[in-house]
Amino acid sequence: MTDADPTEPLDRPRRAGKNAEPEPDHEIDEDPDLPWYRLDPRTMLAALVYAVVRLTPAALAWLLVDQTSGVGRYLVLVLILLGVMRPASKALSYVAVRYRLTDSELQVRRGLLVRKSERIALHRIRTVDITAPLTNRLFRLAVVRVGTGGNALVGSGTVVLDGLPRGRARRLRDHLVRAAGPDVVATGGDEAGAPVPDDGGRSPSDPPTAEVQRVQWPWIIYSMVGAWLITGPLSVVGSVFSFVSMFGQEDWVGDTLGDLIDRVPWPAWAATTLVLAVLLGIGAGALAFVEAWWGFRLVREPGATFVATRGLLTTRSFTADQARLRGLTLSEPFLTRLLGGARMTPVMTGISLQQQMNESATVLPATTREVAVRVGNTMLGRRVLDERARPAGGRLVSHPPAARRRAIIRYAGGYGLVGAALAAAVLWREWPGWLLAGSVALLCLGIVAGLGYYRTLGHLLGGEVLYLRRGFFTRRTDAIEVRGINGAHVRQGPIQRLLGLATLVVTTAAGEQGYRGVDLALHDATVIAAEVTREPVAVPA
Amino acid sequence: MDLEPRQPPTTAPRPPAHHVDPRAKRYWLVSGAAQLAAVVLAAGLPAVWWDAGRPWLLAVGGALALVTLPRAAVAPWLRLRVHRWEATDTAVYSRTGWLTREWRIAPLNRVQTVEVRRNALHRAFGLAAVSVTTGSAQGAVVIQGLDATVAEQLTETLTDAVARTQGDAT
Repeated sequence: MTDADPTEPLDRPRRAGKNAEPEPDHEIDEDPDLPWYRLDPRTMLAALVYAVVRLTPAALAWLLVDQTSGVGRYLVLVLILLGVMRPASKALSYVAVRYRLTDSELQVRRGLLVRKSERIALHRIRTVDITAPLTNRLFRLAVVRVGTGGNALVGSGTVVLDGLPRGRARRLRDHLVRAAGPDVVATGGDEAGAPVPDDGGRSPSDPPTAEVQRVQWPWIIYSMVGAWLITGPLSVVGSVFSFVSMFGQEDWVGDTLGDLIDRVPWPAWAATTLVLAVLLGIGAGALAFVEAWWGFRLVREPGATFVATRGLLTTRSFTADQARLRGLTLSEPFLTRLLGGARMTPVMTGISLQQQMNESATVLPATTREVAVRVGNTMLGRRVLDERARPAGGRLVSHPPAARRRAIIRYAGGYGLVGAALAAAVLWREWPGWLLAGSVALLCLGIVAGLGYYRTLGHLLGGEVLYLRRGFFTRRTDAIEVRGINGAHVRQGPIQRLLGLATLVVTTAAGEQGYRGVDLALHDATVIAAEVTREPVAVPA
Repeated sequence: MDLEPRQPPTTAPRPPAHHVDPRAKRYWLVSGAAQLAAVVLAAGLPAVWWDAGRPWLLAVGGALALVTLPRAAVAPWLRLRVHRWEATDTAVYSRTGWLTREWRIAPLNRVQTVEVRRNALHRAFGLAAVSVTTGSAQGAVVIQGLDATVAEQLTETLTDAVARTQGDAT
């Protein structure tokens, strides 16, 4: 139709043949009476808009790149192909995808040439999340992502329906959550955690459910000082440069910059760059926060289901059942920690890696430590951590002093190596002598980091929860419920064997699949492994 | 401070009951040697024909060979001493690793699949590996170097035991 594209002619002949056939093949159809539903036809319009967006790089390349060169032409061609492929498959999905709900299953059938059908038992559904990227929102469409236990590492645990009308998406979500939960009492559908708020970013009326948390704008500070501080500006500068170099203009940029640099004194230049980079990073972090967390609300619905809705351009809604939670991870990056912040991630079963990566499964941004801990405790339905992010039921056990030695050797060794390289450059390549201060500073930083790392190391098995803490630059505290643990590994490298230390890994079907405690005394690791697996592998000394 | 230091005795998890089959040593030796040969060939052959790339090909190949060498020269003997396994009424338990030692426990009520693996080299020596997975992507307990019939028996025992235990495995 409207979006003619290069992939179309390839498909057409065979598609015509397929279309000539009567309606869906019945060989696997156990309930022939149940109708199959298609996605909304507006999907194709959304795909068209999406294609326009995705073709922007190609259009830019068309304008900017010298078309007489072979490379330039191929570049444009490749960009067009890249830009058109996903919208095309999205548009085709209107024809290709059909779904229906039986009493016990969600059935999705897709494919034109090769038909693939997926059947998801309703009781296996763990999470349902709804997102609406901008192109979908223009047409009041939404994407429903259904997560089952599945193999959480590959995408196979997730089924995606891209292009449902909002209302239907919401009803589908409510239905699935209701059918999935063992004893979930249904809430009145539509306004309960309305996943797609109106353009004001607020749901029309307050739902009859308890609000756990809503966005607080001061949190934006944690996003501003996050990883963006360093990586953001670098990546922006880097990508601008590589973008320019794509068109063979990097010499011009280099020359212009070179001229500029020559005219301005070096320290002034360095200072300006630094300030600009930091400002850029802060700005980017702030923008990212506003886009992702606009109108954020986390509500608890009856039956201990939690629904997080958020987003300015792309709206996202994520639903998680308390029965699927197996613990939480609290991570505190250095600067965030100094500002009293933390990031809480629930440890959940049935989250695919895809969901973890694209962050649609995030329920809380980096917040103050109190909020992170409170929301975590609320979601788990028990007091796991206290206000200072320590175990609620006891003190962390510190690791043996040998662990301090190992931490210092590792950090100081790592930074020392860089420092030594710097010193070598000063000595033999005649780099400026003040760089020696840098190598000393690196060594000191390594020692400080090693000491700091040791101080954060700790573990505790108490109240049917295993706590593991580690990390200096980013401190992380994992609290994993013992009922969620499905195995244990005790690991000893050669150096650990000399020092009588061991790494404990508890495996789980939830979250990151494995959680690590570093450099426990071998004895402690053994005892904990024995206790969490209820298997007597620890022998009395 | 919220941390209290202490100095406990260093007791390792008890060793699992059974050794692996002695033929496993030859299996490890052959597969280690094959890896070494593959590395040498992959770096060496192009180095013969390609003048410009020779220095770095030899450097990378040499480094890789140095890393691979112990797998053939030392590991088979050490592995035979370290590798042990056991299936209790409630769990599968293994000890592996010639350089980094690792004890793995998978409780049977959390086990999802039990399978025997036999590649061509396994068959040549009459050996098999048994892989026991749980709901975690990191939870697999793999027992290498079992006699093929022992592996079959073990798999049957485990499958029965798993069927008997009731658990949702998550």
